[in-house]
Amino acid sequence: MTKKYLHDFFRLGWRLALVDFKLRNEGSYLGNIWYIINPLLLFGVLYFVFVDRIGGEIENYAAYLIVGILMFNFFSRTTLELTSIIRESTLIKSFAFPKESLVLSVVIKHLLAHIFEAVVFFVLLTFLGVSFFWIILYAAITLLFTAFMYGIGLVLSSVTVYIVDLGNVWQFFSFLLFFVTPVFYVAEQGSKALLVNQFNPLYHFFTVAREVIVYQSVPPGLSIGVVLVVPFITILVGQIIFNRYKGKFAELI
Amino acid sequence: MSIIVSDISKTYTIGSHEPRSVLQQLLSISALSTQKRVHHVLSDISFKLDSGEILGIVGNNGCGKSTLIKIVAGILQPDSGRVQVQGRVVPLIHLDTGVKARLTMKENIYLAGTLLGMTQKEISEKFDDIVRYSGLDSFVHTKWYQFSDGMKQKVVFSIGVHANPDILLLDEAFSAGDETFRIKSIQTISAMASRGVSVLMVGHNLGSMAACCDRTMWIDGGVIRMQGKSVDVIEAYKKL
Repeated sequence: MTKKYLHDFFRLGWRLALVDFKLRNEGSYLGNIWYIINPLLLFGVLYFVFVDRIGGEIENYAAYLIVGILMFNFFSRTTLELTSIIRESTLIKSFAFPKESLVLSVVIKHLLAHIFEAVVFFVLLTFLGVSFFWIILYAAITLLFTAFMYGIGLVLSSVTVYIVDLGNVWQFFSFLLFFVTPVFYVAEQGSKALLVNQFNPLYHFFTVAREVIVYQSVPPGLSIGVVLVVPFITILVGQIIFNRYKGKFAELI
Repeated sequence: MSIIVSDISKTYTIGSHEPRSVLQQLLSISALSTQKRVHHVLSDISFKLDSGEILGIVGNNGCGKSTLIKIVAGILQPDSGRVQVQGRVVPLIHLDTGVKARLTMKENIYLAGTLLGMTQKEISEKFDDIVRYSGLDSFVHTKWYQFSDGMKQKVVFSIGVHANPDILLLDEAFSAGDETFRIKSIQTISAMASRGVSVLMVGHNLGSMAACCDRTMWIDGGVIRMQGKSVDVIEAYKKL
């Protein structure tokens, strides 16, 4: 990749993200408030259903749940849109430009929405006794989490050009992932859930975020390792797959 | 030399690489798999374009004109052959090139300008010129979906000619605009060519092509049937 390619990649990714972010809620009465209504409702339902059951055994369950919902929503919204971004893009047929910038634009757009909802939820967290200092560390975790999603996006966006149904499959997979990943429960030591989640990068991102923000303790070494390494591996693999297929995008969409 | 196209060929495999559902993908393993048909769009096309030269491409629908211009733009890749371009390429391929229907004209000028390689500073500096050239000063804050095809073409063309191209690629540039704007566009293209900009244009408006192009190339069935002085080539093409 040349310097100009990278420059265009970031410049276009940013510009397209801003445009789509602006257009997303245009004409809507509640506008950006919609970004927080969904997670807030989900939080309300899950909290009141589980607080006296599994939540009773989890220290500061409300904060634990908030971090899980915030991160899972960010992941599922972003990756789902990435299954259609290339297929629905008219730009690819009109310009020669870094096509990866389309993936980047989706990730940035949802990152902006995530920041918006995170600020609201973090105000809530401070009321739940979480120190603001630890919340700041969430920025670093979010950055790595965003990089991870970008890598996933490179794979999804290129494969979906060849397999249209990937969007539906991914929607089902996300639904499944919501229950597999400990969003509203804890994977107990020695349980099958914990064993399965050792192979689930989301679990490690959630664990690191919760240990740092909610419990102000050092996360397990394995989780720290996964959070630091997996994003780069995902981007590398994603870029290889994207490069393999991107030359045909303009013909196939 | 601005553009050197050497022996490029392009085929499309029709009916095999279209997006398919999971069910279709599974069925394709069986005997029900889709029949493949290879369509030769371009075969061994070669030409050169000097700085400041205007080359027109004519031919019937489906002969490979648009595919050729997209290959030169780097949007499509040839199966074989080589394309060398020198300088900033500005392709104006579609009427809705780089714009979004729900944005205003002003917002779309910024978006399309970015996609055409202009910096924000460049766009801001040239914004008034772009609007003035299009003649749509009173529609700057109007949403794009409320524009007619002719108005869209004026704005897109205006952005393109202000994007400092070294090579301008035009596909059906005169298909929707009014006569006044068509004449203005031809004058602009000629003026740009005299400043060293190379222009490659595809179109069906033979009068405009003859008035504008130094040379014309006639493509028929994916091969160059004739090229030379515009008047001669267009006359021969008309007789077909």
